[in-house]
Amino acid sequence: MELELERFLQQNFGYEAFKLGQKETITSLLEHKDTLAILPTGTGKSLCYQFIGQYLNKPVLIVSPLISLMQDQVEQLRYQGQKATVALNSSLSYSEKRFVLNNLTQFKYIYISPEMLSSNEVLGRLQALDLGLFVVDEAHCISKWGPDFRPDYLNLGRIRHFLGDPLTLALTATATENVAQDIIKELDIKQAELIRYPVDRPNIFLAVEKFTDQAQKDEYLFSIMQKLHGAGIIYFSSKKQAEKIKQQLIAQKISTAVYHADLSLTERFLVQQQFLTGQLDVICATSAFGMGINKADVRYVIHYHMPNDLEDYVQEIGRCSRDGALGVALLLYEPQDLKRQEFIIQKSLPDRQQINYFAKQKALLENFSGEELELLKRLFANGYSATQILELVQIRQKKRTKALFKLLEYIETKECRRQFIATYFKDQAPKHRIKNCCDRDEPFDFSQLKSKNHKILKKESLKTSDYQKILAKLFKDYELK
Amino acid sequence: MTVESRQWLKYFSPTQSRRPAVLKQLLENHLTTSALFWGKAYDLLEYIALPISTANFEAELALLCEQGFLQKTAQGMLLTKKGTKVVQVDLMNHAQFGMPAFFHGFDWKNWEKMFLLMVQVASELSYQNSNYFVIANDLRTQYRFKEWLKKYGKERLLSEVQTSLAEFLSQEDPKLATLFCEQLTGHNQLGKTRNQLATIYDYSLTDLEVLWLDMCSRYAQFLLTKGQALSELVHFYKRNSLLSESNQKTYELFLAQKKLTEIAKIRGLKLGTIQEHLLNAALLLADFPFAQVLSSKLTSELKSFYGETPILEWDFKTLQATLPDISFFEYRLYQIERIIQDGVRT
Ligand SMILES: [Zn+2]
Repeated sequence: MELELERFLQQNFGYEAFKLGQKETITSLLEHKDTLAILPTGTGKSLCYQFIGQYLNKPVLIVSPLISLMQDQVEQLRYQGQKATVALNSSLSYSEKRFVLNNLTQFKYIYISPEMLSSNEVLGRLQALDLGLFVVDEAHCISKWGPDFRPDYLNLGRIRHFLGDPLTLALTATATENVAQDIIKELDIKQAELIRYPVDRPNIFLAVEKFTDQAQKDEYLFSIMQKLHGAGIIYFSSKKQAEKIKQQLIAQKISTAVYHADLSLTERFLVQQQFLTGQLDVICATSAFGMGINKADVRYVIHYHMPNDLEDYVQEIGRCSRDGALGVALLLYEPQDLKRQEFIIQKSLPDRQQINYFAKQKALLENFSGEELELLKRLFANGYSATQILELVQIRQKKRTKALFKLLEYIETKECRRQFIATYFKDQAPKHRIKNCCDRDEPFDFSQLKSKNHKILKKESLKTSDYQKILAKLFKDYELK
Repeated sequence: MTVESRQWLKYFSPTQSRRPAVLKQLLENHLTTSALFWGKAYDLLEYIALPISTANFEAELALLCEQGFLQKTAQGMLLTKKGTKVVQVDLMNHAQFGMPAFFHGFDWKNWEKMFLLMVQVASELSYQNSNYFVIANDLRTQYRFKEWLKKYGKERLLSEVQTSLAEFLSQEDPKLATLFCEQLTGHNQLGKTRNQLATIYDYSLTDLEVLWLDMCSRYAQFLLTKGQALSELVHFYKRNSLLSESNQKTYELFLAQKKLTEIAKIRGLKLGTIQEHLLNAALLLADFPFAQVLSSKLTSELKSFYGETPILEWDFKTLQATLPDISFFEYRLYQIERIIQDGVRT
C-alpha cells in the first residue's frame, strides 16, 4: 500500500515524496474515515483531495469560502493538467452558471462557495453525482466562535447528509482545540479522524520591531529594504498605505507592485505571475494576496500593519520560505496600529442600528455592499432574527478583540516567540534556539538570507524598433520587418 | 478609467452651456431622447459610452469652476477663456481617443479579455506549449474562444493574430505601438501593468489608459474591416446597430411602412414611446427617412414659420398657436432634420 501510494504520487503529480501530513490524511481517507486535517500553510493541503480524486477516479466537491482563493486553486489545477476543474460562485454570470450546472458531470473538481450550496437546484444537481470526496476547505469558518465565521457553513452538516454522507475531509491551517471540536460537531461527523501537525515553521525567524510613530516605522522599513534581498511580501491593512509605500520603494529602485482588491483581474494575474517568475521582488499587499501563491523562495514576510489575530498571522507568515531555507517574519508595530485594527474589527461587523434597520427591510440590503452588510445578508438568509444577530455580533466582537489582544501579547512578549505561538495553539512547545529562532536574545541578521540581490529598476526611453522585437518574442517564427 | 480633472475641459464649449448634464448622460450610456437631442445639437454623440469614469464628475467640475476654467450658468457650465487655453495645450500633450464613436455599442471590457487571451494562446501555440496559466480566468471568454478555435483551428489563429497585429501596428506611431505590445502576455513573457509602464517610461497613467483602450478598440475595428475569421470574435462584443434592441424593432416596423399607431399595438407600447424610439433613430442613424413622417407641405410651413431663427431657440408653444394640429413629435423631428442639414451655429 505504502509503496503504491508513493508510486501513484510520482506518476500522477510528479513528486518524489509526500509532504508533512499528506500521506496520513490520504491513508485515513482511503480507509473510508471522515477526516479533519489541521496542517500548517505551505504543506500542500490541496494535494490531499486531488490525490483522492485521481485515485478513486470520482468527482470531488470542495467548499471554499473565498472567491479569490477559489480562482487561484482552479487555475493551479488547470495548469497541472486538470482541465475539468470549475468554480461555482457569485462571480459567475447567469448564463455561465447555467452552462456549468448543465455540464456538471463533465467536471472532476468542483469548487463551490457555501452561499451557492443554499440553492435547491444546485443541491439537486450535486446529488446526482457519485461524489468521491466532500471537502470543506478553511473549515474553521464553521466555528461560530471563530473570527472568520460564515453563517452558510453551519448548513454543511445538513448538506452533507443530503448528499448521502460522502467521504468527508475538513481542512484548515489553524484551529484551536475548541474550533476543532466545533468543526466535527457542526459537520455532524460521527467518528472523525483528527490529524494535527504543529503550526511551527522552524526555518522562519520570528521578529517584531516597535516604534513610537509611523514616521519612525517608515524610516526603519526603508533602511532594511536596502539590506533585504530576494522575494518578499509586505502586508498592509490599508490599500492607500500599500500604494504609498510602493511608490517610495520604487523611488529606492526596488522592483515592487501592489496587490489589492482594486486591481482588475488581468492586473492581478500579471502581478502574481511576475512575482512567481521572479520578475518582481516585492509585493505590497493587503491580505487578499497569497492565498493560492505557491512560491517556495519568498524570503521575508513583513507586516507593516498588524493582522487581526495570531491565526491570520501564522497563515500569512506561512508563505515564507516554503523550500525550508532560512526566512524571516517581521512585524512592525506602533501604538496607532492597535486603534486602526480595532476600528477595522468594528467596521467588519454590523452595528445595532444597521441590524434593526435592515431587519425591517431586508430587501434593501441588496443595494448595499461592504463586509459587515454581506455578513448581515447571509445571516438573514439563514433565518437569524435581529436579536440573535445582535447577540452573535456582540460575542464575535468580544472574541475578535480578545484575539487581537492575544496578538498584542505576542508583540509585547519578552520570551521566545516560537514558544508563545506553540502554546497558543496547544502544540508541544519547541525549545528556544540560540541561533535563528526569534529575537528574544538578539535581532535578526539580515545578511544571512540566501538570495539574489534585488533587481534594480531602471527608467527607460522608448525606442522605435521595440514593438517588432516584442512581437518576435511572442511568436516563435515571426519575421522581423 | 479616471481622468485628471483638467482633461474634462476638452469636452466643454464657450457657448453651449448644457454640456455637463448631456455629457454625463452620454458617457454613462444613459441614452434618453433628450440627452441624444442635445448631444446631436452639440455634436457630442461620438462620446456615447466612452470609457471614462464619471464617478467624481460633479466634484471635478466644481473644482474646475473654482479654478476659473469653467463658469457656472443658469443652464449648466461654459468654458472660460482661461479654460480654452488649457484645452489647446492639453490636446497637444495628452493621448486622445482616435475613434471615440466606436465605443458606442462596444463591450470593450470583455473584448479586452478576449484579445489578451487570443494573443496568449497564439503565442504559446507558436512555441508548442500547452502548459501555462491562462490570462482570462473568465468562463464565458474561454468558452467562446474554444468554440471559435474548434471552428477555425490553431493554424488559422496563429497566422491571423500575427499578421493582423503586424499590419495594424505598422500604421501606428512605433513608440506607441511598443507601449501597446508591452502589455501583451505570451510564451515566457508577461505583460506589464499600466502602473509599471508609467514607472518605467515617462507617461501618466491616464495617458497610458487612453492609449491602450484606443488601440484595443481600433484593432477591433481593423479586424472587422479585414473580415477574416478573427472578426467573428469581435462581433461578440460590437453591436451591429447603434440602436438598442427595442428601438431597432420599432424602427424596422417603421421602415416596413407601418403606421405609428399600428407599431404601438404590435409592440404593446404607448404611442409616445414609439415616437421616442423613432426620434432616437433619427438622432443616431445617418439615413432616417424624414419624409415618411413630415409631408412636404408641413415641412414648408415650418420652414417659413421659423425663418432665420437659430434652431436651438425655437419654441414649440408659439408654433402651436399658429399650427394647432402639429404634434411635438413632428416638431422635434423637423428640428432634428434641420440640425442635420444646417448644423448648429452657437
Ligand atoms: Zn525563540
